[in-house]
Amino acid sequence: MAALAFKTTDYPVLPIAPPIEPIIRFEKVCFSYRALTVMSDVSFSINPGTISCVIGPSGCGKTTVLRLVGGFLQATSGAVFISGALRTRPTRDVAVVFQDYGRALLPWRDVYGNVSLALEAAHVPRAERKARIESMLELVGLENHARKFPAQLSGGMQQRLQIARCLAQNPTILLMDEPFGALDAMTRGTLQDELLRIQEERGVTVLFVTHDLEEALYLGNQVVALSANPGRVSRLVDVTLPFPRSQLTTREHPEFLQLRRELFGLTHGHEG
Amino acid sequence: MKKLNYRPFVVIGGLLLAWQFALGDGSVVSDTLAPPGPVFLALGRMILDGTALHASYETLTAALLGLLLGGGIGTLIGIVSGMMKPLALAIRGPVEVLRPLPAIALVPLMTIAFGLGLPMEVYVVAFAVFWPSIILTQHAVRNVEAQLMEVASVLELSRIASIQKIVLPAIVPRLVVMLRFTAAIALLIAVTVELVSNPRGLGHEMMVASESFVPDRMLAFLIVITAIGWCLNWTMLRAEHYVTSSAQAFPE
Repeated sequence: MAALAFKTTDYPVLPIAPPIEPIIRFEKVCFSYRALTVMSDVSFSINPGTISCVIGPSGCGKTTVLRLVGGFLQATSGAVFISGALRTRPTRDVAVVFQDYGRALLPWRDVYGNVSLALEAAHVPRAERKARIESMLELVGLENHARKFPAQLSGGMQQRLQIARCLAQNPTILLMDEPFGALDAMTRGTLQDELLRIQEERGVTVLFVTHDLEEALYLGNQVVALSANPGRVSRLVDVTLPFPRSQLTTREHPEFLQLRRELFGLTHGHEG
Repeated sequence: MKKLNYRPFVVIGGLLLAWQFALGDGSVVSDTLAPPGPVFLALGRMILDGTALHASYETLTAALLGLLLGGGIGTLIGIVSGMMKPLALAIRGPVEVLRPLPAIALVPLMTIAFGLGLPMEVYVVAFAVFWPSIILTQHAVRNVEAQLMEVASVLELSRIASIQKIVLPAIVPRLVVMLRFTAAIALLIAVTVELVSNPRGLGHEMMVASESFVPDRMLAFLIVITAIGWCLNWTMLRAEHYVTSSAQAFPE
């Protein structure tokens, strides 16, 4: 973060760290679809290099948050900024991992070819592609399956492949829409840990939508809890659980249990 | 070795025998119907002297050129309009008005415009396959997984690149099915144009045989047409099978 370094010769040393410019900023965002107000007055910001999880009951506009950041939707009023610029359309530096991996992969291309798509789109010269594809596949643990087609892979492997393709487009932001929701509990746990490892390695900012409160607390630096009808921010929570996180100790950590108790009612609506 | 299914042959043999016995003892001489014996003799003769081949070549040339022209342009328009909703809405009116027009009804117009011969037949065939090609391609494009189109937009693929890398491969199976339909239409229209007026190809040969009361020759040409139609359909079915099984990955 050289840009943030202060020249001590010109200025007195500040007693506090300079504020970091948020990479994603929602400013009084409202979103209506026809007569229905999906989201009302949502404001929050996300710092670069963090994992933020959006949770809330169904109908709270979790997916709308993600689609606004993705550039697929435009705010009815208010604005969404990415690195200070107004978000108007999808771009390559914001990758999207869809929940439905089966529909987001090219079934006629093998694992290698699917990752290649992202590099072709970015006009990476042919000579460089092979090495980059191989390193992506290694990152997600698919290096031994390069010549398989998506239909020959398990659900977890297909989702790994989608993550590999998204990382191959070299994004600054990775949007994930309940990416592990369709997977069994074991695979989900493994992929959560892999995501934490990959995020640390690549320094990418992750915005992760989930309906699973424990998943949100386990992964996030920050949790954005939304309430429904219309969608509003009901709580913004900084999760200060230590890294690296572990499926055993993190989930038994007092802070984890306390946050879980506090937020449970919010995410489970009236049932809680 | 797969065991041969003999049942169809039994049925065909039975029909041939019935045909032979109905008019075949030599006592009945008909100007309109011939027993199987002379028909197959006539068939053998026209295969040996090359008329069958020549007439088939003429008909198939017109059918294939028409298919290429009408199907090609139709598919192109179908892809572009399938991806651009305003264009699809703009062409919907004309398509709905012109599509039900029987292609054969264009023969008089095309004859005045281009005279008899190959070009006129090609244009009529092209007209006949043009409309179904537009509609079926449009439909295929609209059925491309919406999420794949979102992947294309996230990757900022150009329109050309997303057609080439996503839309085209995704619609190939549907295009092959479409080709099977339109190829059958093309053959049908080519033969019909020849029957109606165009002095070339299988349809014309059949008409001449019929008008000069040579039923065995007429029926022999009918067998040739049936065989061609059957071969065409078989080839297309194989292609379909090949596409769907090689793209092992098509869910659904």
